Amino acid sequence: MTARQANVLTAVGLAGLLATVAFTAPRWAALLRSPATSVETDEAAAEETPRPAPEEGSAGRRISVRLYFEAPDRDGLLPEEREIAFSPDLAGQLRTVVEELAKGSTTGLLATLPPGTRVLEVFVQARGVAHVDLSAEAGAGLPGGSRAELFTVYSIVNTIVTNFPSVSRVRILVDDRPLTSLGGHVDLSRPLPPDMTLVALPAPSAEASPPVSEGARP
Amino acid sequence: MWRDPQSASCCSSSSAATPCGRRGPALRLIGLKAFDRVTSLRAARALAGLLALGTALSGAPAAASSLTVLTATQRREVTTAARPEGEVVAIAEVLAGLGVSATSDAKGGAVTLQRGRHELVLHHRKSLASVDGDLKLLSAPAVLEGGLWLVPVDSLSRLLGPFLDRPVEWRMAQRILVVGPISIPRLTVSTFVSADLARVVFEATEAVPFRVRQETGRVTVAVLRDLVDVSLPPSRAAGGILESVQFVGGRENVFSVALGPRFQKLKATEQESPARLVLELTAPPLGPGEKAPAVVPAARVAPAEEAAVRTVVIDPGHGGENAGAQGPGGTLEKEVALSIARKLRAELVNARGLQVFLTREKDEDVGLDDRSAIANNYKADLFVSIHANASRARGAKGSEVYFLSYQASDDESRYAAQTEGAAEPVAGAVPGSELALILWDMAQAEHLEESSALASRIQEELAVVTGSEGRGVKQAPFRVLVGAAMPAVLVEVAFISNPEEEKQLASDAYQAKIAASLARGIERFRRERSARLGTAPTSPGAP
Repeated sequence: MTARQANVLTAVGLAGLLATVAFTAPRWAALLRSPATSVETDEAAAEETPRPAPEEGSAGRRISVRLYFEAPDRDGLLPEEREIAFSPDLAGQLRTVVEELAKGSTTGLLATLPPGTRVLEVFVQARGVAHVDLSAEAGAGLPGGSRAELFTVYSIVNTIVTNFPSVSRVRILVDDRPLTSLGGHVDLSRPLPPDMTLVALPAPSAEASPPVSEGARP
Repeated sequence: MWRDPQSASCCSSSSAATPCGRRGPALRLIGLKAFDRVTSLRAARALAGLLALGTALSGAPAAASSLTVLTATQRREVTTAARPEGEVVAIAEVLAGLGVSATSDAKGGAVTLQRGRHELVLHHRKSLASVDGDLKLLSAPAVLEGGLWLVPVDSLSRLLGPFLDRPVEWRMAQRILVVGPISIPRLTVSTFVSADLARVVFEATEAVPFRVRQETGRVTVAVLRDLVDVSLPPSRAAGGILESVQFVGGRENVFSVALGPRFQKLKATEQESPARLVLELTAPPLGPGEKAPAVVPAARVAPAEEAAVRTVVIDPGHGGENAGAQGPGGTLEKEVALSIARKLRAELVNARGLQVFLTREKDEDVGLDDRSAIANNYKADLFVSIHANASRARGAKGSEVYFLSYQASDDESRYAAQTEGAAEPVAGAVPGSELALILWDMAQAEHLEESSALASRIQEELAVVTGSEGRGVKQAPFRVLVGAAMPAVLVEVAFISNPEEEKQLASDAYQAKIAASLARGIERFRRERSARLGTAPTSPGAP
């Protein structure tokens, strides 16, 4: 960078400041009026560009995530790695991840979100709690039965927490409302930590993997 | 005339771990290699600014701490300062070595950070910043203090992601700002504890070297990588096999698995796809007449429980509009559940002389919380919810018995600690408020030991009928169990989604067999409990 460029940048910065104030005064004012608590700043910041498209600002960058779906031949969840669009903000990224879950598996695993389930909103609170707001299909389309419901809920929770360690628990909402459960079993009144015991054990053939070092007994 | 009176560069050497105070570190901050000509020409003024910045931070209150900035090539500690509005950090320090230049405006009211074609503008005492013209809301105002631009730590990722045009993630728990893309293995740890078996699962996002060592009273698991991310929800001791799982950390990322008095044997298995380590901790089998020791949560004294089981509330799942699962042949879960519940009642009343109530007598829906409230109202000694399972996997079959997985959040743990000895919840109270909810949660939490034992006995008897040893006792956060102030389980008798099991479930004779096995399980639990509480004085904590 040259000195001239730097001066130009300075000028641009100051002009930008003036322009920002001049042209966006209503937006500033609106933002300032809204009682922006420190907890939900993501939400407030998102208001300026509602529902950013996943590719926005990411210049086509992709990241690899691990999605959990239901195993077709065993009892439990199994992971599937997938490249998805990168999103610079966490809430937007979580949204794309849950949307990928809703698309179902590409490797023959069973979809855990009922057909037609849409992601209405995702936001992240302080203390690492992610809120995922789903459309009503998430509950109405369940096959019934606690096992299926557990897999639906924990495919979301395990996927989010595994990929985004700044999130430690996930709360699921439906149609913008808190609910006691999706289908009469799993308690959704509070954020859930992940449960990796629901991940399927290896197929019986692989069970013979040798135990690792058991260490010296004292 | 646009020349700025002050120009502080955000470039620095990677050794910014020590707050720049004196001449030495300050000089090192002007590592010229990443500097452009403009800023280096102004190094003298920048130096003055940086010196002032350094003192501003190092002179901050004693509460000052640090965070780690991790990029693909470096790892740096950066000093932060506590402010009434939250924790702040000098953005220059965070961006050191990333090729960022800074230009302040004439009055010091704003600064423009420049990197490539991206531009970040901060305004003194304003909570709004802009990145390439997009407004970003900060959790607290940015401030210019002693020449340093301080921004809230929890707003860094929002600001820097778009500015640096790469993923930037603030990991609050580990206090690491990851300036990506970087691959860090992530470990998610879950525990399952029943009366006879405890399982600890360490699931990793990529293959990592685990090292397992058995020591006196504990098992340590080391994850031999520079940095791992850990998700370890608080777990609760139960069954006397496993006391706790804790992340100790250190260079080897050590977990400590504390063993209980009943621990006998460790089996550690590593698996691939997904990469994980599974520890199975087992207890010696109980001999006939031998009593399982009651393990009492450390800080709490178990309420003196009545030995005798007299009243049982049976909860037929679903009902009314809420049909539950439907089999491929049209059999409805709500009908199977009610029918088995009635048969179980007959068994318990006629053959064993117990008092039994059903949460619903007919085809009607009852709220999940109302079901446990009914049990509380009857002062039931046991609560048994009856369901039929369903899965998307066609082959799924067999029975499962669940007890509640209880994982208190930090808030609730703290709350519980404060309210030691608080009154038991009033039976019938509707858990509408947060307070009531917490109290109700604690109610079932105190019965987890016995719920686990009841689940084991029922599953053992049920497996004889359904032949499903593989599925066994499980734990889940089922809402219907949350509010029950007594040992409580949810029985998934079989898979109604499986055509064969559906046929069986629809048959009267098979339902009767299942009901009889449930009654035998309840009876075994009842006898064991009488033996345990009837003979042994209530001495909490005694093994």
